[in-house]
Amino acid sequence: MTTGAYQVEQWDAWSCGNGVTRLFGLADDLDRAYQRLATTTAGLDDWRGQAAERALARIRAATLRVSGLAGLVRRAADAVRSALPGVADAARLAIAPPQSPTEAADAAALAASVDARIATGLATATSAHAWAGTEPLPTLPAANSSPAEVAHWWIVLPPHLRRWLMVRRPGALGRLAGLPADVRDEANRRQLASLLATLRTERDRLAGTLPTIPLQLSRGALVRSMLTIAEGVERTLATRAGRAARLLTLDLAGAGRVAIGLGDVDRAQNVAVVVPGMGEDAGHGVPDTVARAADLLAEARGQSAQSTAVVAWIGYAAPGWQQVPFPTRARAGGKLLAVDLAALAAARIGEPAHVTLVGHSYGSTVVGAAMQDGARRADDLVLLGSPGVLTDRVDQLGLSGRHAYVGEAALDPIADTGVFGADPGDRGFGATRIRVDAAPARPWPDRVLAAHSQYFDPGSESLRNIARVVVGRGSDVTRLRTTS
Amino acid sequence: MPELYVEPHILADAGRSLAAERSVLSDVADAVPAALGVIASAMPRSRTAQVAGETATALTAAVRAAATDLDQLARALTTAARDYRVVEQVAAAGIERDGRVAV
Repeated sequence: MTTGAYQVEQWDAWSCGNGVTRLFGLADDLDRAYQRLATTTAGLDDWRGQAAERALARIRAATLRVSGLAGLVRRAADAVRSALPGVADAARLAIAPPQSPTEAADAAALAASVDARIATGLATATSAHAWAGTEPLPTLPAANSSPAEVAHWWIVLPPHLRRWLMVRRPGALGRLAGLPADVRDEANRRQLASLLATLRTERDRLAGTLPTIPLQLSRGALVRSMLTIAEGVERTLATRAGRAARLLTLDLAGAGRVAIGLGDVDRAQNVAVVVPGMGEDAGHGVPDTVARAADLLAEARGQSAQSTAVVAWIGYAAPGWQQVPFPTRARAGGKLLAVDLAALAAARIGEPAHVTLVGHSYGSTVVGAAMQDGARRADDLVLLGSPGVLTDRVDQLGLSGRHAYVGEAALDPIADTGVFGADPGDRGFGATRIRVDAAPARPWPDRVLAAHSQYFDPGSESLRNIARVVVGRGSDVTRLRTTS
Repeated sequence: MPELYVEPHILADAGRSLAAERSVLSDVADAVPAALGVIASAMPRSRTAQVAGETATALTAAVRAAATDLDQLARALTTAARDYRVVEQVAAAGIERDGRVAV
């Protein structure tokens, strides 16, 4: 077919997307049919005898077949979906009169390329191998896969293989950046339950022995450290029972990494990520950070009818007193935060969210590092009690001062230090200063002694302003005029 | 020796479940050509439009085959449930007729 035979100007990406949505809907219907059939098979477990053997084998095969079909339909839908931007671009170029022969050739080449990509994807989805229904057990994506690649891998995986991984490899599944929040939550909760049982058994076993060699002492310390994180997460999730809390990240190695999402992070129009500061690592900072995230979510929902979700991100090795003078942990944390932001974006259902990073204290330095890492820039930043963000000017973070908000309580001893670059509260930095008045309920001595820790107080102007930014109403914040 | 560790009504319920899923698959088979047809129409005279048509045919046939399979299984389970009931009734009647005490 020559490129001239195309009617690219009539290509309609919107209608294409409509067809894709319908195909995904049909795949969902098949997914649900598979789930119900699997339940039916389980209900016949007590049936014995020759007839049972023959019938159950056939029912199981039919059940897997339905799962395979769900995967095929999803694969076909995904083949088209992944090329939708290309269809839109090709149609736009075809409508606009070309300015040169080269431009016309480029437009034709793009159309041919997009067409070939979709056609190949559709053909592959229904290839002989896929029909066989004898897919091998699933392998996880390569370790260097991007969140977008992980998201794609999951989308086209048939439901019985998804289930297999969820039951057999929850730990590995929970660590995959790019999976839907519900999937990571289920996988991480399974992993948490399993780890808690193992660690408690090991703790009890070690308690019954006399540690005589350094190896035993060090093993005991390791078990205690991991158990502290795991039990903190368990308690925090228990206090959120009945509310939509999703365990997005669970890693007990080293200082540990935990992220808990409140609200529907995959669908919410606004997503905020709260990054805590010094001393608030996974072993010590989970309950408080989640509580602040919950207060922010409640305030944001009061501010706007738009849907909002907040992630409590205790996803880096927060420093103690010895490490806090150095930016090493902030830089390392920034890289992790950038990856997790890319993961949230890859797992999105529908339009991209309006994303706000809220960094408190050293957490704001982590936010600064993540923004300079550049993997996925946020739409807005809120920097609270910040000792600096590893740069001297806001535009070096990739956004303008109208999208970077700085809150510094008057008596906050950290806020004006400017240890890591310029003080973000300085006029020269270029950010918008917001009022962070304490809540009326907070007693005066406390306002002085805890000036660095009052930014998330319910009822405070500080929390109201943070929430305004989170819901995309940054123009409504109450500003602080400063001459500094 | 067969071991009949199943209540006939459980088999009958399973048969009904399979029949319900057969119905779902039939609906999906009906809807696949329309969904892919939308994509084909949105990219006229393209290779995609042609392959979308072929994909619709293949997918529809596969889903219908699976639906047929479920239909046969549903009928088999329903029949098995009925047969087990008959066996049970015949056995009970025989025991009563022979004057044995069944506990």
